[in-house]
Order: sequence, then structure tokens, then C-alpha cells
Amino acid sequence: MFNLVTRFQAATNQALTASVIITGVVIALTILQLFKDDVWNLQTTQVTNFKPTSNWKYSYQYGSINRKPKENTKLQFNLKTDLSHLFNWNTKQIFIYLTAEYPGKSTGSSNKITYWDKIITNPNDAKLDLKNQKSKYSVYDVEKSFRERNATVRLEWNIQPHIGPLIYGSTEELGQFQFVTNEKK
Amino acid sequence: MNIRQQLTQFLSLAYVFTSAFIVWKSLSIIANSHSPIVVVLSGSMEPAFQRGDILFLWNRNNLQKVGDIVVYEIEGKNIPIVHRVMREHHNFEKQLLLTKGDNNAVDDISLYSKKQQYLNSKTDLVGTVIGYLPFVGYITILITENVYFKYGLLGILGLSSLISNE
Amino acid sequence: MLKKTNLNSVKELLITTDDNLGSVFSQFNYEESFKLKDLKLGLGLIQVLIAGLLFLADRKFQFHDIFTITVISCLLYGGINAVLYIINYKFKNVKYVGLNKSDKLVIKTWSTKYDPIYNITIIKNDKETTTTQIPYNKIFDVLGLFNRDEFSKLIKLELGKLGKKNE
Repeated sequence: MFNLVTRFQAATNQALTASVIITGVVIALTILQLFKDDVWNLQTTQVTNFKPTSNWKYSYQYGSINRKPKENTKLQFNLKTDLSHLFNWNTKQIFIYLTAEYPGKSTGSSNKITYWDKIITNPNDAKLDLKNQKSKYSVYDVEKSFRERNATVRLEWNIQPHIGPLIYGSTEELGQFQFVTNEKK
Repeated sequence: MNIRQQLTQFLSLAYVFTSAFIVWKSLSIIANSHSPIVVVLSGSMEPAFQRGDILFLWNRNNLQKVGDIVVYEIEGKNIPIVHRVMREHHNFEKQLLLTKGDNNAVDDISLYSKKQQYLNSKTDLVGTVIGYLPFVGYITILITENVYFKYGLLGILGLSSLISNE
Repeated sequence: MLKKTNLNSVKELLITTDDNLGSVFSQFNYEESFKLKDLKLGLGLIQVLIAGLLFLADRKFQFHDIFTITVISCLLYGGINAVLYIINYKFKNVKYVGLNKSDKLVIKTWSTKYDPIYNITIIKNDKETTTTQIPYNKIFDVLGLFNRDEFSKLIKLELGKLGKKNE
């Protein structure tokens, strides 16, 4: 134990073991905390007043190839939710996103798209009451058009911890809307 | 002095490297990914991930979900990119994904290959992020990107081996 | 052979003393049997070989193309590791195995972390056992030089004990 290298090795070894144990304990406590806070329960969430709109686009970043028309849709909505119980001492940020799920052409096919998302880093900002919130993204399908299909809306979330596993969750179905299509090609 | 002693010394040194390598490969097998642990190199997912953070990947999901953070590689570009799935379209045969960095204004179409509109979740993904460790990976960034640090570290290692020989 | 040992490290004292077991027992007409050591070395070399080949394959091929090979290599490596672990467990602290015309000696040695004492157990023909404790300050001088004559004297004493029990 008298030479510098062995001493350094012993110290780093000790530090490494300690941090592995601490990390393990932190992760276990975080998961317990998440269950205790019942984070997978977001029953108070309401998303209403869906107003889908549609547009034909001809440029590449809107999904069009070779200037062929591609239908792009947006969704306006009201959102009311309280996510403060998703925060605990090991939460770096919460990423929430509003998704719409709709069937594809063949059986067994399905699509899910994001219209809006938000990063919340402060628990004080976790109470949301948005009126006529505009769609953040202009969304196109793999097909040319959305063909006036029905879509199911959910609010989904992802907890990003300071250290540990990423946690995901989603509300039940919050409502449905039908894509509208402008006949203009 | 004799060959057995030298071999024993060689083996105990080699064991450090081979066991680390085998542990890494075993992790690869378990996660079904060629690099089950990656270091974040860009700030495009801030504030979730910063440069130097370490991510643990899992590549055994049949389908990716919207909101999953995936690591993908584009053919011809060797840099793995860590971004979030924004849209997914799947049928029985395959799944197409569109990704976007939380901190980027637009989606990743411009990062993909020419004429490529979607990622194929079977072929393009390195894995899905399941766990997160902050900052620890910064040392690899320092080693690969900072010449002074690299040679400084090599110098210290060399010097310490000289010193430890008395 | 004028190597100084770090007197502050019990581990180094143990290693130096163990290194001298071979020459000391050859004085008493025992020839070292390297079966156990060679087995361990061989297994260790195979491990290095497996890892080395896998490393080369990993350089050359894509991960998914050599997936089965990777699995097999890791299992083999782990298996050998387990075997080595069992060997080391079963033959814990065995530092020397010696043979002469009629007898077989197995020597186990160890030291605890904070006591500068050399524990040595001599097992003759898997039956008779004698254990003794030699403080390191008896067999090392103040400079850290190993005193082989003193050590072989002490060992001879131990061997003598075994002989008496035999009669």
C-alpha cells in the first residue's frame, strides 16, 4: 500500500464500487417513488374540441416526392391536465406529447403520429390549461392522403430522470376525431 | 525467471482486457445491439441528454413506440444519432419511423440518406434508450476529441508504469 | 536474486516467499509437479485466444453476421472462467505440488491483510497435515532481502514433524 499507483487503484476501486451501489439504491428508490405517486394514473386529463385541418403540400420537407401532392394535417385542441405528481427528486424533465393513432391500409397495420409536444422541467409548470392550442407539427401520412379516417387521441408522457431508467406512460383514449380532406389537388 | 511466471503475469494483464471485452460482447448479445452503451455526442436532445451522458440501449423490441428515444445509424454516415420517434407506421412486415431531436426545430429528414423519408426500424436502429447515466462518458469525448488530454493521459500512464517498477 | 521486497506490503512478502518454495523443496529432493499450474495456464491461454479471435472477427464483420459465433465465444469464455473458478476454489492457496520417489507434497500458503505472518500448510500424501506460522521478520532482513537459508531451516523442521507422525 505504499506506492502511489496501488493506492490510486485502491481508491478508484472503492469509489467505483460505492457509486455503483449508490446508483442502484437511487434507481430502486425512484421506482418505488413512482409507484407510490401513482404516476401511471392520469385520469384528470382532458383533451377536447378537436379541430383537424388539412392542406396539400408539394415540397420535400412536407413529405412530397417529385412535387406530387401530399396531404398535411394539423390539429387544434384544448388540453387540461395536471402532471405535477409525475415529478419527484429524480426527475430531470417530463416530455409530454399528443398522439393520434389510426389504421393503415392492410390488416394489422397501424399508424401513430405526434401533433404536439412539450418539455416540462419545472413542477410548477406541470398544470396545463391550453385553449385552442395549435398543432406544433404539420403531419403527413405514408399514403398520399389521410382518406378521412378516424383517429384516436392520447396524451403520452416520458419521465427523464437525473439518473436511471426512462419511464413511459399514456392516458387511456381521450377522444376521437375524423381527418378532413380538402378537395384541391 | 521462468516461462511459467512470465506467462502468469501476461495472463493476469491480458485478463483485464479480455474480460472487459467479453463483458461488453455479452451485453451486446443480451441487448442484441452492436453497441449496447453509447455516449451522447450532440446537444440535439437537450435538456434530456447532454454531451457526455451515457445511454443504455435495448434492441429486442419488435415495434418501436412513438416517444421512444432511439439510436440510429444512416448508411454511409458512421455517427450514431440519438433522437425521439415522432411518428411510426407499421404493418406485419415492417415499421417506418420518423425521428426528431427534442432540441431541434424540424424532423430528421435532412439527416437521412437522399430520398429516404423514414427509418426502417429493423435495419437502421442500434437500439432504444432504456437507461441513463449522466456525464460519465465525457472522458471518451475528451480522449477522442482532445489531443492534449489523450497524450497527457498516455504520458501519465507511461510515467506511472515507470515509477511502479521502482 | 538480490531483489528487495517492499516490507510494507504483506502481499509482496507472500509472493516473494512463494517464489522460493520451488528451490527450497528441491533441496529436500522434491520435484515440482506443474500439472495444476499448467492446467490453469492452458485454460487462461485458451481464454485469451477466444477473446483475441472474437476481437478480430468483430473488427472484420458486422455484429449480426457473427452473432452465433459471438454467443458461442462468450459462452466458452464464461465456461472456462467457471472451471478456473472451481479449480481455484478447490485448490485454494495451493502454491506448490512436489513429488519424490515415494511421497507427494501439497503446500498451501496465505497471509491475512494486516498480519505480517506467513501461514503454511504442508500436506503429505493427502493425509498428514502440518500447519505453522512464520512471521515475515524471521525470513526477511531489514532491507527486504529474503533469507533463504533461514526459510529452508524452518521448512525442514516442519517436514521433520511430518516424518515423526509417520513412524
